[in-house]
Amino acid sequence: MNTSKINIQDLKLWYGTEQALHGINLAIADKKITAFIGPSGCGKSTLLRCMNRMNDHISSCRIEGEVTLDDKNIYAPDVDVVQLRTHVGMVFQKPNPFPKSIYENIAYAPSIHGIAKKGVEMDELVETALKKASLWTEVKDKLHQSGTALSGGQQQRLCIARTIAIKPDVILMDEPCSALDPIASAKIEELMDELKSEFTIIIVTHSMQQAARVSDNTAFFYMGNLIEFGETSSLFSQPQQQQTEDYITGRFG
Amino acid sequence: MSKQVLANMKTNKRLRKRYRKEKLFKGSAIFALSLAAAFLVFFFYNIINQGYSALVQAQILVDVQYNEASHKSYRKAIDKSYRKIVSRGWLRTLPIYMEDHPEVMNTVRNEWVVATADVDQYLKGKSNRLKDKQKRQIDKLQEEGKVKLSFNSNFFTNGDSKMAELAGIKSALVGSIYVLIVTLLVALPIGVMTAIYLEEFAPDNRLTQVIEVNINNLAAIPSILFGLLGLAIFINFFGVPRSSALVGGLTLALMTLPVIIITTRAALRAVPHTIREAAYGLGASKWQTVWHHTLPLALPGILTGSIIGLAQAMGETAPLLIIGMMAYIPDTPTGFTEVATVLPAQIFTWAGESIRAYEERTAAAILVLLSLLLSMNSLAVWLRKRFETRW
Amino acid sequence: MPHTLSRFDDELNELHQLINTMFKITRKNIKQSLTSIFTADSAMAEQVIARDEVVNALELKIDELARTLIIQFQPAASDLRVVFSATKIVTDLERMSDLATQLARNALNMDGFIPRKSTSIPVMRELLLEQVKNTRKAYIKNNVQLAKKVIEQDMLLDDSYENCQRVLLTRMAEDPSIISQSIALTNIAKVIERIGDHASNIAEMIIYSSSSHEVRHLSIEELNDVLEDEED
Repeated sequence: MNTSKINIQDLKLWYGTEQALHGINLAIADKKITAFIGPSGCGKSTLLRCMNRMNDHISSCRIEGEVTLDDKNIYAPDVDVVQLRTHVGMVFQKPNPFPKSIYENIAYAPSIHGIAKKGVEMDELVETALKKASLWTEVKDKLHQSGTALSGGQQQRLCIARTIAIKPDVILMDEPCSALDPIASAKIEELMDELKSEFTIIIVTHSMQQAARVSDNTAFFYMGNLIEFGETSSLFSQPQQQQTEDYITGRFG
Repeated sequence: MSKQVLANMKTNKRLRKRYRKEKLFKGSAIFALSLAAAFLVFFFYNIINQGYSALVQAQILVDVQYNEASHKSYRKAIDKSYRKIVSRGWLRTLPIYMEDHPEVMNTVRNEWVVATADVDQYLKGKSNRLKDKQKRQIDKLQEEGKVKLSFNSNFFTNGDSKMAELAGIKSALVGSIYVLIVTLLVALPIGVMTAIYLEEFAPDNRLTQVIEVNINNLAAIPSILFGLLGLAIFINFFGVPRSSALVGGLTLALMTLPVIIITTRAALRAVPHTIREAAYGLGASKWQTVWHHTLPLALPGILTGSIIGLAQAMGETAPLLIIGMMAYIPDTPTGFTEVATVLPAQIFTWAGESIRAYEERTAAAILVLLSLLLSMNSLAVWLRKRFETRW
Repeated sequence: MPHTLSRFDDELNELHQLINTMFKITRKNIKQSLTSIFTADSAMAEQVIARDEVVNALELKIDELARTLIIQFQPAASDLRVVFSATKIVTDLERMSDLATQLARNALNMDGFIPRKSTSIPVMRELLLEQVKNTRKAYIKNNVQLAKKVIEQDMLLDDSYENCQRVLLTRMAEDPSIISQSIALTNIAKVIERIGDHASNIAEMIIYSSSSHEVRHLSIEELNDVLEDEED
């Protein structure tokens, strides 16, 4: 358990009166890719959003239980959500660069958090982030063009670069490839493989093949419950639970 | 098989019926559109036709005597035979003119001076109250080239006047601008802030719902009630000077507020949720998210809505009626607390005058108001096109 | 539960049917090749040799189908194990049929010599036929216990083979005139033993496919442990 980065203990979540998560217990390994799979509405995205408290923005949402990041409960009253999000970055389903220049897209978060000063320091940070996101060679000559003018895959890598720039420990990815073509998706997957050495990555995906390809561990959710969690290779070849078996072999519903 | 398929691809009776319906629908839409366009064309034709003649004004070439006698009694400045056809309003200004320009004293100058409204109307071929004798006199002067129609600069440089030939829109125009400045300064920040609070910060509870419903209803309230509200609050309670641009601006701000709030909220709502999520995900606070991302993206929409709201306020008359801005105010205001009137109020006042010369001035003032409103709306459209963001 | 995509079920079913057919023909080949040896029935031996072509064709067809299944449906979990083990099973079946053909060729070259009860070859024959029958049954019923039995039977067969070899060696030492015959008999025993090994391989794949346990290269004790854990 000492290698786990995030520990989720008996996490329950309600939207109004409807319970979306029924006591989840899960330990996310450090510097590994963990995939969340399951049918729509199974709670995987909800759980992902618990990890950087994105659900705080939904007023009807109520949470019980603990999510600890490096043994610190992120729902403790003394935890500032803004600070938390500099440790836990997020990449969304639809590429959502700000309608500003590529440079500004990346420099924005470091400047509001005071991570880098304007000028050379920021230029270096932008370059490093873009390089880590394998986007540098494609955009180095047009840093001051709008980020929204890039292709979908490039936009998503820009969003990843933007997240890397705040130097988080954990990167949450909510179906990052669902709006992309297979080649752009493959580039994102390749990128995830590279980022794994530095970051703990959690990815929600609808593509089981993608989960099988990129992740080290996989968690299968159904109806707000964690059904099975284990090493990806064994979960996909010999799942222990019938529901997991039925889901990954396409026998659902 | 293939024969049957081909047969199915030909137009049949049912299909023809459908096409007919389509044509009918399209036809009626085009008819409605042309009808609206025809009304508009007629309206513009009518107004321009009536109003363009106000841009010129009859003037008469006369000898003006600048001396002590005429300083004491301005009627003596010109020959007796001209007294019925030269504007008395202009004659009245002579003593002051002489005081300001002592060098003209004891000279006789052959000058073009403003004719009476009746002469003006006679020259423009409209009905007038000139006697036959005077008409003959004008005809004679015309043959001698001593009467002409020239550009009516008085219309733009004078305030209202009881002499139709001297009446202008300057005081009303300046009043309108003052009122608009007050409205803008009050309604825009309050409206935008309210909208931001309601849209981005307010919890979704009973209270905010009540506020929302009320704001939406306010936008639909007859504008005259805002006048009553302005009278009660600003004049009676706060003691803001009656008829002033300040009270007018504040009252119109009340009226414009719901429009600005509603359009601002719509503009904020049109900003994709993903942008907000992106900012939150990077650790931006709520305020930073709004200030750095949502608001700049909503700005074109907010500006457009505000300009349209202001244009609406500019054309408003009813609430101003209550707070005393619908009055004979010939002097151009030089401050926010002085009595002032506004363009639509001026139009309303002139429209009620019996002298025919006011009729064309009414139309001309309407033209000025219309072109102002049109340019404001074009500005709104231009802003939208210019700053529109593509996702 | 059936797959949401019913064509996936159809194709898995077809895969199953084809392997079943291959089992049937292979078993017939083994049986007839052995019979031809004991009865010197050269016509039957010819039939076996001819029928091997069918088995070869089936192997290719099943491999092709497995590839198609992987491309089209990207099978996971139990489906993955089924498809993966199918390709393995098919390879073993093809080898078994090849070995049967070898026996049939031996039968043609025996010059009327018929192995009698003098050796344990008839016993081996019975053991093998029983083992092959069980293998097929285990596959059809997806039965782990039956598959385990096949593996156990293979051990008996191995013992018999060793026994047979020892007997033949002793005889050859005593009577050099029967060396050529004895070598022929040793070859036959060897082929029977090899067929049994392939059957055992198939049984291991059946266990993997149905229980997800990898039991290749395990001793019988270890195998028992693994399967007992499963039952707990």
